[in-house]
Amino acid sequence: MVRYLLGTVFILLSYTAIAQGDLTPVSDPTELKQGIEKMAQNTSTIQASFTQNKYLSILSNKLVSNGSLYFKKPQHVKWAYEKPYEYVIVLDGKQISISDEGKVNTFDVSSSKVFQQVNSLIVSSVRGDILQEDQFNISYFKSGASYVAKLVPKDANIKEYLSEIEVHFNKEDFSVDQLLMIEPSGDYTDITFNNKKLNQSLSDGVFSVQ
Amino acid sequence: MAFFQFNKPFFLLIAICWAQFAIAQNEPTLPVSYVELEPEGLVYNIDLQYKDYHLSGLAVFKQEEKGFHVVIVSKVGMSLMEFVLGEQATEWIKVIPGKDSKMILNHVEKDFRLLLLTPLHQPKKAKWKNRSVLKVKKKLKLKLKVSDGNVVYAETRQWINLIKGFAKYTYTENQPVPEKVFLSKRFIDMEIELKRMN
Repeated sequence: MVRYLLGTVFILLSYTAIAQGDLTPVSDPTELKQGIEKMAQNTSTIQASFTQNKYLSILSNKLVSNGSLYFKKPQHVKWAYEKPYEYVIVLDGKQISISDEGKVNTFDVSSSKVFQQVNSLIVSSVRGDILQEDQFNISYFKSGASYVAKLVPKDANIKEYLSEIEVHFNKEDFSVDQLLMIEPSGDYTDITFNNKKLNQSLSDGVFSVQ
Repeated sequence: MAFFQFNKPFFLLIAICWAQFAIAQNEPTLPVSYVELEPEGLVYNIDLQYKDYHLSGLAVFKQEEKGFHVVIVSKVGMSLMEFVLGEQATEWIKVIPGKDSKMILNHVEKDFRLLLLTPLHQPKKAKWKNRSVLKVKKKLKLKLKVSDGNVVYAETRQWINLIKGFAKYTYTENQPVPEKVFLSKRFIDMEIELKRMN
């Protein structure tokens, strides 16, 4: 019990440290919104590597996975986990294809409201235009190197899984540097993007699940 | 001779007690649930297939004071299921919406008690049939095959046991924690496979 409590306290403290840092509230987010809008307009492709850290209150160690992310306008996204497992999600706006250790499943986005929400969430997170005030209550902050938007979902379905999404935007190019997805239990997923390449040529073949 | 004849029941009783004692002395050590051997917790890749429904992710197991804590996380990071297999009851912390009927949860509970071998934690009853076959009871009755101190096979035993569960445990280099666990069921097109990650 004591270990469990200590684990929970550790996670809450580390989350608080990450979440709060030296964040100061932004009263007028116009500059941030305009920057993101401009970035979304001017970016046709994104290529990046990512590290995903999953923090669970019952584990003292985080679960780490790595992979690559590809985006091409208007809605092509490939989210490929490479280590320690191979798991690929490809979205094209109409279908979601998942390759799990070589086994491929394809679903129509329109077949399920959950798929539509997942599709919208992933595409907008990558593209940077996640600041949709009809879907989230949003508060804005800034720190040394980034702008931070904290999004609290309004939709009851999303709320069951996520109590808050925190998006860190690069202050220079307004691309997404980091995503924190906090669950109602306090467990959270921290995805950090590295080696970002914007507007480089990406063939359609990249967006296959194989 | 008359003394022996007169005390025959007594000597018989002594002999039986001695034999029981000798058998007990000779019995192998009771194995434990492998989750108990890793106090920091275990992480497995989990694949569940039920007819056309497929779920994959990471399964985290940890033994705590209140029971065996299970968290199933999707590979993209979101927690899908969380529950604690307690001594007598299961605490459901998070379940998959739409997959939360009493019948489904009952199956999930039994499957995970079998996968994690929870009846081996302070069993209510434990009886060796021979040096490699053990029957244990605690919330769930299991028949186990044991090799070199490790459980290599387990099946559920019930009064009415139509939907029997079978689990195979694969170890490497005599490690006490299995690298793979594979569960299947009689009359149900369902399989669960665990592959160790940490």
